[in-house]
Amino acid sequence: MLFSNRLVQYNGIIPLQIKDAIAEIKQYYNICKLKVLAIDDQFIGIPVVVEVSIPTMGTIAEIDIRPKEPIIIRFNLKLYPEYAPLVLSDRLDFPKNKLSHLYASHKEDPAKLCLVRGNVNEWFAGKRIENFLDATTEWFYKAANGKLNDDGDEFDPLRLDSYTGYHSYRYNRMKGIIEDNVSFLPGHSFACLISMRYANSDQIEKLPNFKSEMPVQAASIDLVLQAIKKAESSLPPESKVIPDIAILVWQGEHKIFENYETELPRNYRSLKNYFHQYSIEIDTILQTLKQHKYVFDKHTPIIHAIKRPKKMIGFDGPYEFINFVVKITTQKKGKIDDSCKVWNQDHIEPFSSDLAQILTNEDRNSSTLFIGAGSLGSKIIMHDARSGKSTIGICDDDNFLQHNLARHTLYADSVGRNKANAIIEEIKQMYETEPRKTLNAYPVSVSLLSDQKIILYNWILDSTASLNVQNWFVLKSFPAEINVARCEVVDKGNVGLLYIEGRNRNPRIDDLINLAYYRALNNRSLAKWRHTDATKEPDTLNIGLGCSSISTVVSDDSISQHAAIFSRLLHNEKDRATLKENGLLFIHSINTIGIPETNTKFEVVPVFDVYPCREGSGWELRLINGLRQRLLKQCKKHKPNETGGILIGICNYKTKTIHVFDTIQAPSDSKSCATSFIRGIAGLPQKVDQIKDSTGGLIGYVGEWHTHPTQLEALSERDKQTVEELRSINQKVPLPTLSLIVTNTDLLPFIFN
Amino acid sequence: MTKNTIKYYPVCNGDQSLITLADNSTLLIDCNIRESSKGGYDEELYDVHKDLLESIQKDQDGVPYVDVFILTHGDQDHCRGFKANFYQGDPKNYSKTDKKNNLIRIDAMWFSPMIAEKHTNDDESAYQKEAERRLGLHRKKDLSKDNPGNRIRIIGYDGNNDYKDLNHLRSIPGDVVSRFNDKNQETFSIFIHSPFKEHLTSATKDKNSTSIVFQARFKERKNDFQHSTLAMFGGDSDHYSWDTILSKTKKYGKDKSEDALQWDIFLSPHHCSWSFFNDRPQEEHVDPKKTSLEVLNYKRGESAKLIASCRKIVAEKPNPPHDAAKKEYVSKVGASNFLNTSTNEVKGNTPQPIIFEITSKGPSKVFKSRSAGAITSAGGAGASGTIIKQGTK
Repeated sequence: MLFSNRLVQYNGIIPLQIKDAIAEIKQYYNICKLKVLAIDDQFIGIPVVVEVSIPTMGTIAEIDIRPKEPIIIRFNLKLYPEYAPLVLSDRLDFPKNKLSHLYASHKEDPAKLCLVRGNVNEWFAGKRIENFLDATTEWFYKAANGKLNDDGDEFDPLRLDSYTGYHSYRYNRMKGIIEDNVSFLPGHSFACLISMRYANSDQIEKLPNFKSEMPVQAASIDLVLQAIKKAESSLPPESKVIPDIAILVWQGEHKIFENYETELPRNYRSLKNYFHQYSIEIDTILQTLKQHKYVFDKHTPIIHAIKRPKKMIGFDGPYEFINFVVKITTQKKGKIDDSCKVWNQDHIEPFSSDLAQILTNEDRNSSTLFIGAGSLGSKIIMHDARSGKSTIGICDDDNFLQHNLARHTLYADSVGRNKANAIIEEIKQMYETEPRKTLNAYPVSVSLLSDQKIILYNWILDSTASLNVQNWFVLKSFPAEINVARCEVVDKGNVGLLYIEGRNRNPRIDDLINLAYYRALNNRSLAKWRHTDATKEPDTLNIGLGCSSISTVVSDDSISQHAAIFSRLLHNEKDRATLKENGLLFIHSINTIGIPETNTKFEVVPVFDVYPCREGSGWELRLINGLRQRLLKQCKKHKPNETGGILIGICNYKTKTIHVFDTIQAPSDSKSCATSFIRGIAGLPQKVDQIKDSTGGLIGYVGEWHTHPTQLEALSERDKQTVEELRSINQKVPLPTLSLIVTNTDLLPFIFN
Repeated sequence: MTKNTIKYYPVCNGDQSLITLADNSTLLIDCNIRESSKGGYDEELYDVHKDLLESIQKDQDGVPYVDVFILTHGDQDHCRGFKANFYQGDPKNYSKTDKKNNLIRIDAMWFSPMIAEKHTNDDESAYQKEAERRLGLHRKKDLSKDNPGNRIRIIGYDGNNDYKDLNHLRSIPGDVVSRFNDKNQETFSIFIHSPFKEHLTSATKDKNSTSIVFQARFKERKNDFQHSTLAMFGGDSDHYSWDTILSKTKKYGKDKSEDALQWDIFLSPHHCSWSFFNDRPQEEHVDPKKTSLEVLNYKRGESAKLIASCRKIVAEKPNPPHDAAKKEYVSKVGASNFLNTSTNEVKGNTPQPIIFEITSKGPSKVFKSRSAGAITSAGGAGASGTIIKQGTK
């Protein structure tokens, strides 16, 4: 039985980028025609079949993965490519409960594959459909070959693709309670925990977040409940932190459970059934608590400990904790109503370190839209805010988590809140006596930000370090008066980079970012960064559970240093006093070993020469300033003979742009006459490989140039033949094939996929 | 821990396979390294030399080495490139120039006396010469005879030359070898099937019928009774050899006691030649021998793999490879399990190795990404290392 049998053909308009993706899917699977199915108003699905390599005597652990697995590639009609496609198994009998790396889904719904650790949208921002399909095939290969858990002998947690709020507690404390059997009553398998409830107006139905600490046993629960009641009555109604009780339950015989939950309960009836599978009678537990004067008049947090066959990834024990909150709203004859709502919450480890900040005061009068309110962005925002800047917009769809406390400008009372909302509220509180309407939070993805909101500002600063946002910037049109800048901290915090676009967006942000890669050839800090980046392990450290909690380790003071100097520079250049029409690449290096040292270097970057492909392929060529003249000179110098060489730069398939930073002229074994040029190879591969090595593999060969002193403004028959030869070589990289013709007066790029 | 793997290189009509064990030990079976495949400039040839160097270990001095080299027989398509790419001579004299030239040291070589009979190419002669050097050390009881680079094992019986004084170095058909390069392996062994004495002494013997034939055996754990993977390597052996292998293995009960005939991967002998099934030309001997078909019936599981290490198989071309042989194999394993090294994995126009990882449920073909990685890219030496002709005419 296939899920796709329930779907009908989609006859609506398919956005261009999804059409391109479908073309790539056809090419990948070598098929001419694909069905496009309507899933709902928001999604379409493309059914294909994945071939899976299976051991000759069947799959490992007898998992029902087959040599041909039907899947549906689901696209979001409005938000692709910012939102990555999702792979659904088309098999309704797919062994969902036997596999990790699946998002929990309803019983009747198809399995949803979790392809990568970390944020899949951010991963996809740097990938092509081909990579996505590779990851899909690899997922099935790993599933069939018992390799889905990358961490070998550790157990992968259940994936929750949605949850409401957080429950913060120490994993090892909960593990200790279970192992030491610190139960509420002797002979029972549940514990009561003293907790704090954090009011959270951002969440649906104002579902609070919780933080749980030590257990309390039956003998003393009376006193604890009395203390809670007293505290509740003495606290003002708007109080954000209220004491509470949470419940931790486990299976009394410490049975091991291997299966994954495919559907988590949404009401009390299904919660009872859910726990019953684990030989836990949750209703009996709650009734026991009621007998001990526990009052069911609010949200009740329940932590379910499932013992797994192996140690959990990232934790020091075999227990997986699933967090529920039950809103016990109605009771009939003392019983809890089956229709009571149940939510899932994410588990986070509490953070306990203090933060310190030193801020200066200064008046600033430009209006800035900050894209991203992470550690770097939030610090720059607060420098501006404390200096009196009155027009600030913050766009960030992320929530503030415990581990953000390490480097962020916000404090613990903002945990669980949207970052943009929380920072704007902080700033508003600073100016309590003079409410401002020009402080705006946009708690959405940048791609959803309307143009009406963007034009309120004359500067936009992107501090997300997100490739997805970078691509959005490149493809987005802004009014000419808006200045665009981006900052990021790289190489473990040792290097901070600030890019400011030129007027009219030339040089553009991607020109400047790629220029930074290229400058690794003669800048020691950048060279070290590129080397570290090229040699680091692809996987990053997971903090917390789930697929969306990847972080890097950088010290708070390093971020602050970069933030401070970026803030100063942006303020000084708010009217482009030094830059004028040009762009800027600013490099701030910190040496934190011993007595710290800092160093700044900058390059004022003139406009790039921009040429669309002459063949209308949609590709664009962007040449660093000076290259055009250098090439034209070459044409004149060698006239009447032709000459040529290669182009050094980087190409981007998502933006269909080739950036060129240098040319290499005809090698010594080249031959030329008035009507032909044979580009030799002497020393060339070595030069290119050296450039690639020094830039961490990012900058290298991107195409050929040669002159037409006869002023022929087209590819000759010989040139066309050469393009075909080059295409087969370049496809291996892959690389589009660029043939740049240089006449006496102009450059003519011909770019082919 | 690294997994055990078997890699079948795409070397057109010819053989080159690499077994890599979990402790990173490597066993190279035959070599077929064309000079023209180096550097990746010929897009139709895979750079097997580069891959091999990246796949094997280096010692503390940075010298690349294979633990064992098994030459099944001395035909050019099984030892091409031996002389130019493998170090020959006293390992103490391995020089900086040798290292710069990436010469691979063979810690232990397996040698069939049949090679000593008749050398038909320079690479085979070089192999024989190196074997004789090592055997000489053992005869002289030289103190360095057991050092890496001097180790040798004699496989099978003697022909005209007499190596009886070195019988302690010898393994014969029916033997199981589990010590490789002076190290015992607990979960990997080799069952030797051939060459047989009667083939070596036959008046009509040729190199093909005296190929070393063996079964590589992997276990998941040391004390397992069952092997998780059995891979058969047949060199260029013909149907006569397999008739003998079948009857002798059964006669001595090794088919049952050692599972010596079973297989999960079968490297088709002589590059998918009809000679495995019957005499050539195939048109005059159209029916496959029952014994050959019986050998194939020893496959385990529903998706046992048949490897054809040869060029693309087309009906018109004469064998090897032979389309009729392919059809016989496909009828046994199914089309999806018949894997031709020239066509199975192709990137651009370049065929790629077929790699199996050994799992507890048999060999599983390793997933290989087709894509290059990120959305941004820049070429390396590829196109810049190619002469480009342009011009207005």
